[in-house]
Amino acid sequence: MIWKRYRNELMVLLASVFLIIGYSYKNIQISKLYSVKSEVSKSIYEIDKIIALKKQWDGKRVKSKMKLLKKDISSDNIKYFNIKSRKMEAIFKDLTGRKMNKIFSKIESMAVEIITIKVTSKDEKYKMEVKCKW
Amino acid sequence: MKGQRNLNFTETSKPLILVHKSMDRVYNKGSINIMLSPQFYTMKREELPIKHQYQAKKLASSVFESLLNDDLEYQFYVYKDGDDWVFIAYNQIEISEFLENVGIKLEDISKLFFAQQYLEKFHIPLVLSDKELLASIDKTAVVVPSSIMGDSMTNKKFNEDVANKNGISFGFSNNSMFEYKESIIISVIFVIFGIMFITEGIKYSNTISTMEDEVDILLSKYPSLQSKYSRDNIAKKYQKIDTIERKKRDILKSLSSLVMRGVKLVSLSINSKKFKTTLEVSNERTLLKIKSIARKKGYSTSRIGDNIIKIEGKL
Repeated sequence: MIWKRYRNELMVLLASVFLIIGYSYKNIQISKLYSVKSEVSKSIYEIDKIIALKKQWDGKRVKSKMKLLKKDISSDNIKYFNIKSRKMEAIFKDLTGRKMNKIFSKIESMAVEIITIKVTSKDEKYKMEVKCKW
Repeated sequence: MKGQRNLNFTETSKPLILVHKSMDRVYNKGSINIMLSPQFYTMKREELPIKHQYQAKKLASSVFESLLNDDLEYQFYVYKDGDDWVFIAYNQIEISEFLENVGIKLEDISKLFFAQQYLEKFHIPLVLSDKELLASIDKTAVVVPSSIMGDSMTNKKFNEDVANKNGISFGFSNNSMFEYKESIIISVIFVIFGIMFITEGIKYSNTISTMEDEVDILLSKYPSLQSKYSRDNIAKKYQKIDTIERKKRDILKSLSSLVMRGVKLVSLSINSKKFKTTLEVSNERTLLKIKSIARKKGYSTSRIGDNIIKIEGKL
């Protein structure tokens, strides 16, 4: 029956324990929130970044753009042009500076991995070899 | 002086023991209620123009002025009886000592009542001992000598029924740090705060779930990104491509900026590891200018003959 002697203290003690549990629970949730918030922001940032990178470098529609590039260049300037699987190899010849710049900017604007570009000049004309993949 | 003890409104089913000075030793186990005979308290009845019990309680000590022993500490109990206020003063220490002497443990006592509260029990005087009776005379419970009652009818058995009357918490809280009312108030405040904290915690927890759901929804659209490992791998792969390809394009852009007026491109080659270009310039001044720009960009330069400069570097 000793608990009866200390019933008031026991009541306050139990209420205090409840208060402490409530306070601790709240604080645990706050620190969890901060950690989850940081993890979630990191994950969302990562995912968004990956999605953007993937979208940029997944190579969709590159093939058709390459075909357009071929169309835009006069056949007199094309020595070799081959698209196979996800690779393109081309040799352009007798290019003026202007035409060469055009090819450069088209290739640069495409999401392709440039394997090699070689340019040589002879008699004011340029020969250009391009290898790229996507 | 300590204030009036707090009131309980229930717990009337426990055994009730009438406490009087000529009582026998009690051999009781378990929780009990006690009723004090007038031998343990001083009572005064007053007709006062006040409405509330707390107002009456404030007046209690002045009501008993000069009636009580100044050397003792008294507690007061006040209740309304018709138009009158009944004031009861009792000495807790004296009562406690007496109860322990007759074998009643303080911790066994649930509630305390006063005989004054139950005058109807003593309309027929109750026999306390061979010499004493507890009777209700003129709205007051009193202990009287048996002899003065003559052949009047008496009651030998104490009626334990005390339903629907207020009692005082007594005994267990004698040495308590908190009054019963205080402990209730503190506990309620603590519990309210506890509930508020838990509610707030649940709110945070729900926010956490919502945030996690956002990521899950996003990931559900891209199943291949669900594991952190595959995300890292994909990111690494594309990040590498992105960095190298941007660098290649930057180099091409910066090399093309060197082909200014009076400069002719002789050759250029770039692959995933290095680049190299040779430029033919029309005069010395332009050559030095190109050399300076290229060096600023961190490229290495070398002169071939009078008017050709070679620029190269690594990716």
